[in-house]
Amino acid sequence: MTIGHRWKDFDPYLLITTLILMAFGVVAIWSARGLGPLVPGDLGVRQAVYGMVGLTMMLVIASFDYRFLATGAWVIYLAGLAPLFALMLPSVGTTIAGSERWIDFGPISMQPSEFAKLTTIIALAAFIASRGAAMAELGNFVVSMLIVGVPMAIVFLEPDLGSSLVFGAIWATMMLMTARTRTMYFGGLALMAAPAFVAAWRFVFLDYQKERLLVSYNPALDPMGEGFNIMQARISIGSGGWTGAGLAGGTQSQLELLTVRESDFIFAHASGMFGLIGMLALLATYLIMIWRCLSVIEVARDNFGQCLAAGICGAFFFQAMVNIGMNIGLMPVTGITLPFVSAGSSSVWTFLAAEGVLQSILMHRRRLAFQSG
Amino acid sequence: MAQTPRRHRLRFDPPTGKKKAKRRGLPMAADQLFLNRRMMVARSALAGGFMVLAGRLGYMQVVDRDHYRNEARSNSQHYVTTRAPRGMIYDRSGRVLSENRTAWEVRVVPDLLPAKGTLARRRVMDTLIAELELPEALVIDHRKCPEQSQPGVYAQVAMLRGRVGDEVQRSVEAITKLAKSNYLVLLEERLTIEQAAQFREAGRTLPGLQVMNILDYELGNAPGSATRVAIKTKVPRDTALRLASNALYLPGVEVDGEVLVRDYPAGPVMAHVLGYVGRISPEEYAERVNPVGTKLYEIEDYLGKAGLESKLEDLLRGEKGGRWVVRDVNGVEIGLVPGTQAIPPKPGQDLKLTIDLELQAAASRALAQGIRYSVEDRKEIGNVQEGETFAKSGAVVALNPKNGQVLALVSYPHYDNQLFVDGISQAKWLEYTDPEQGQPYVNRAIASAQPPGSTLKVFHALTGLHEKKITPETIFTCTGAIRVPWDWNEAQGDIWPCWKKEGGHTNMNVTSAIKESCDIYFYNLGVPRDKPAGASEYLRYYDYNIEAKSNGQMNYFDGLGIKLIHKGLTEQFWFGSATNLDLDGEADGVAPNEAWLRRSNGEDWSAGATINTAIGQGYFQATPLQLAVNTVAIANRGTLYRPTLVREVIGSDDTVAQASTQVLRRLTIDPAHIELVREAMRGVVHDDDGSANHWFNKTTGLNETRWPLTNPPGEEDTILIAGKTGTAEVGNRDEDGSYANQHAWFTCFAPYDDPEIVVTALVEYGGEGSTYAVPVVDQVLRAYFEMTGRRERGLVLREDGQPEADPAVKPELMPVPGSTVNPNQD
Repeated sequence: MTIGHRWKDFDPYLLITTLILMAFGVVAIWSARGLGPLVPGDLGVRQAVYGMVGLTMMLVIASFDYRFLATGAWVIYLAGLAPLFALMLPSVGTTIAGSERWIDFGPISMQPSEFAKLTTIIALAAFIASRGAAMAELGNFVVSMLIVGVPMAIVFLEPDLGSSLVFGAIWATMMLMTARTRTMYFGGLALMAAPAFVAAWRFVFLDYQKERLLVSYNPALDPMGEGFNIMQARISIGSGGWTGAGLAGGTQSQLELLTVRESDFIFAHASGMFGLIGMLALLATYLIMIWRCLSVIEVARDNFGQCLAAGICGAFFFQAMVNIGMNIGLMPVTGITLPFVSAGSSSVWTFLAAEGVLQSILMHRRRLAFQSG
Repeated sequence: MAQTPRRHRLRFDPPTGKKKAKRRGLPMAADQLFLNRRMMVARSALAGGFMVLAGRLGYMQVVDRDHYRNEARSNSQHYVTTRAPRGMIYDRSGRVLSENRTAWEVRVVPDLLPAKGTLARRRVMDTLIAELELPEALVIDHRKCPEQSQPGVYAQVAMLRGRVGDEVQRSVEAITKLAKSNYLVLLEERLTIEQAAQFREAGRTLPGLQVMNILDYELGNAPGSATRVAIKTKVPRDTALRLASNALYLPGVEVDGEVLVRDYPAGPVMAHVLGYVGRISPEEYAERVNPVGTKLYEIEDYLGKAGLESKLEDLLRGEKGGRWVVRDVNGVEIGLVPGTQAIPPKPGQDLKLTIDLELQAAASRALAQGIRYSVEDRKEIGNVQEGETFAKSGAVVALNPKNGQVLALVSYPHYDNQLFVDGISQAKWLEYTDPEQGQPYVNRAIASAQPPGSTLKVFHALTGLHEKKITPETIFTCTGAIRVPWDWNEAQGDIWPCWKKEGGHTNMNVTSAIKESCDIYFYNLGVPRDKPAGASEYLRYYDYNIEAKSNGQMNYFDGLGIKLIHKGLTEQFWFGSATNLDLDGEADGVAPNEAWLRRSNGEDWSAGATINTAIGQGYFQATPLQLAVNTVAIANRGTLYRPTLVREVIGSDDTVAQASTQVLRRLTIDPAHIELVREAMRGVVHDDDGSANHWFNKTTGLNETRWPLTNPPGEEDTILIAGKTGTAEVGNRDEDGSYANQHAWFTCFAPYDDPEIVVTALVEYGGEGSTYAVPVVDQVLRAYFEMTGRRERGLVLREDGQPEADPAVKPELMPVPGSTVNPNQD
C-alpha cells in the first residue's frame, strides 16, 4: 500500500450521526413490532445485530484505500449487476408484496438492488475519473448514462420504481459535480428522471385523492393496501402532535393499521412515537450527516474520491428525501428505505459500506510523507 | 496497486481549501470555482429539501393535528349499534299478541361477492341456493321488453298463469304498477319443476319473462351494490352455522344470528289491529334521519308498516344502544375505545291492549259464520234477484261504554300479517287487495263507510226530541208507503215505502217507531215544513197503499230538515269525522248536508235526499266503529268516548302508564229523552213487536228467539239487551223502491241497566240486519258473558279459556240455513 490511513482524519460526526440514526431505527423497529421481549428473533434485536455487523464492515472498508476500488471498478460493477440479472431468471428471487426484488439466503434475504447502488457509484466514479475533461464529450457522457442506466432499467422492471429513481439521483449528483455542459446535464437528467415521470403520472393524474377516500372507507377495496397505507401514514404522523404517543407509537401502529411500519413507513410510525420534536431531531441528524458527507467531496484528494462522495451523498439525500416525502404525503409511494433507520440488512449494510468508503476517502486524503516517493 | 494516473492528480490534487487560496492571494483555479459553485447548489438543495420536509411535518403535526387525530379515531374506532328489542304487545288479560324471536338471517353484500361471471361467484351462489333451498321464481324484467309490447306480454303471462276474464287486465295493471318501482317484477315465488320448465319455454317467445332463482332476483332487484340484501330470514340454525363456518369460502355472504323477527302468535284475527312490521325501505330510511345521538334505524332494520305497529312505532321501537369499539386492520374488534362505555339498548315499551283476544277470536268466528250463514240461507231461500251480491265481508266492533275501550275490533276476511314480516309474495298481495276476495287487507271496522240504515233512527229520534220536533206522544200514521207529489203533477209523485209495505204499522209513536223500525215515522221526522225554490206549496205527502195503489190523506211534513239532522248527527253525535282511534286508515264517513252535496257532487239538496238520510241511507255513511262509538253515548246515557286500543304502556323499567279515558263530547240532550230511546231499544230485542225479538222458523212452525245463545229459553237471569237493527239498501233502486242489495247492521248494548259492552256488527251485502247481523251479535254477547262468568263457558268459548284462533264452524251456533221465513223485517 502506497498510502497509509490516518484515523485522525476519520470523521467522528459522521459516525455519531450514523449511530444516532441506527439507534433510532432499532428502537422504532422494536416498537413497530409491538415492543416484544429482546430475544434474537425480535426484528429490533436483529436490526441491532445487522447494524453491528455493518459497523464493523464500515470500519474495515474505511481502513482500506478507496482508490483500490478504481482499479477493480468494472469487476465490482459486474458483480453488482450479476444478482440483478439473476433475479430476472424465473427460478431465483422471492416475491414480496408484488415485487421480485429479494434473493433468499436462508435466514436473511438480500436485496441486490441495494448493493448495486454502491457498485454503480464506484463504477461511474472510476469512469468519470478516468475520462477527466473528456467527460465533456458526448460519447463519454452517454457511457456514463449507460453505466447507471442498465441497473436502473433492471430495477425499474422488478418493479421497484423507488430504487430505480435512486440510480437516477446518483447519476444526477455525480454529474453535477463533474459535468461541464449544462445542456447535456439537463438532457441526461431528463432521461434519468423517466421513471419519475411514471411516478408523477400515477401520483398526479390518477385521482389519488378520491381513491384514498374510498380506501379509508373500505380498506377491502384496495387489496394492495397502497392508498390505505398512505392514509394511515398521514394519520399516524398527523396525530403525533408535538411529542408523540411514546414508545408504543400511535393508534395506527398499535392496531396494525399502518403496515410496513418497520421499513418503508418507519418514519410515519416514528412520528407517532416521538412527535414533531423527535422528527425534527431526526431531520437535523440527517442534515448534519449529509452535510458532513458533502464536505467529503470538497476534501477528497482526487477526482475519483470526489465522484464517489458525490454519488454516495446523492443516494443518501435522495433516499431520505423521497422516503420522508412519501410518508408525509409530498411524494408518491415508491417503496424505498429510510437510510440507516428502516429495517433490513441489505439497506443498512449498503449504506454503512458507502459510509466506509466516505471515511476511507477522508482518511486517505493526505499524502503521507513517510510513504510517498 | 496501480496509482491514479498522474495527469488527473495534477488537475484535481490537491483540492486546496478556499481559505488557503485566499491566504496565498492566488486566484482560485477554475476547477475550484466550479466545484464551489456546484457545492453551493448541492448544499442549497440539501438545506432547502429538509426545510420543506420540516415545514410539512410541522404543519401536519401541529397545525393539522386535530384533523388527523379525528381521522385516526374514525379510522380505527367504530360505532357499533346494538338493536333494541321491540316492545311486546299483549291483550287485556296478558296474552301475547306480538313478540320478538331471535332468528338467523343470511344476507349478501353484492359488492363483496366474487366478480360476475366467475366460477367463484357461481360457487357462492350455488352454495346459497342449495343450503337455503332457494326456489326458482317467475320474474318479469320489463327492461328487456319493448314498452309498446309490454301490455300484450303481461296479458299473455297472466293467461299462462291461469288468469281469466277481468283478472288478466288486473294482473297487467298490477305488473305495470310494480314495474315503475322495481327492476324485476316477481310474479311467482315458488315454481315447481314443471312450472319452471313451462315458463322457461314461454320465456323464449315472451321478451322479459324469465325463470330465475329467487337469489338472482333479490340481487338483480337490489337498489345498490353496496347495500346488504337479506336473502332469507328464519334460517335453520344448523344451516346458518354451516354457512357461517365456511365464511372464508363465501365472500359477500353474511350470517347474522341476532336478528329479531316479529312474531304474531295470535294469528290473523289480530292482523287488522296489530298490523305488521317490515324492513325499512330506502325512502323511509331517508325520511327518518336521526337528528342527533344514536341512530334510529339502520338499513336492515324493521319498522312498523301498518296497524298499531306503525301507529305506535315510536313507543315500540325503543332506543338503539351502542359502543365505540377499536378494530384492527382485519376488522377484528379489540375492545371498547378507552374511556368510553357501552350504552345498553333501551327496549321498546310494551303495550297492553284493551282488546281481549278471547272475545276478538269469538267475534271473528261469529262474523265468519254469520257471513257464511247469510250466503247459504239466502241461496237456500231462493228468490235471488238479478244483480244480487252475496256477503263476503263484514266487521264487528265491541266497546266498553264506560270508557270507550275497544274490546274487539274485527274485520273479515282476515289477512295473515305474519306473511308481511317474512316476505309476502306478489300473488298473495294481489289476493289481499282483490275486491273479488273481499279485500282482506282493508280493515272494514274502521275503513268501510257504509249507509247504516235504520240503526241511524235512534239518533234521529233523539235529535227530534231534543229539537222539539216531536214529543214522546207524537203520532204518525203508517199505511205502508207515502207518495210525495211532484210539484207539476199533484196526482203523480215519488213513492217512499215503509219496509212493512202491506198494511203498514198504523199509528206510531217514537218508541214503537224505533221498536218496529217504521220508516214512515222517520220520513215525517226528517222532512221539514218547507217550500222548496220554485215550489208552490209546502212539502207534503199522501198516505199511500202500494197494493191498492190508492192515496189516502194528505199531510204536510213538519220534521227536522237536513240542517237540524246534520246538526244533531255532527254536533251532538259523532258522525262524519273519524273517531281518532290509534289506527291509520279510519274513514270519516259522510254526514251530508246541502253544502257537502254541492261541494262533492255539485248538486242541489232535495227533499228526497232528506228522506233517505232520515232512514240512514242515501248519502249518509258511517263506519262500524262510528256507529259503535255513538251507541256508547246512548248506552252510558250521554258521553261520547274516544275509542282506545291501548290500555297500558309498560316501560322497560316496568313502570306502567295507564291510558287515560278521553271524552269526545257530552250530549246535551235531556236524559229523559235518552232514557226513552233506550227503553225503545230494549223493546227492539225484548218486546214481541221488536224487530230483533223473534223469527218464524218454517221448519218447526214456531216463533223462535233471535237470542238463543245470550238468553237461551228456559235459562234464568235473563240479560237485557237494547239495540237497533239496520238494513241499508245499497246499489240501484228498483222501480218499486226496493233494492237488490242490503247491508245487514245491528248495534246494541248490554246489560240494559248498567251497560258493559256495546257491540256493532256489519255484514256487507248480508241482507236483513235482523236476520243476518243479529245472530253474529248474539254470539259475541254470549262470548262476552261467558268470559265474564254470567253464562256458562263451553257454548261459544272454550272451557279452558284459550282463545279459538281457528274460526272453525260450530254449526249449532247459527240458525239452520233455509229455515228462515224471510220476513223482510228491518
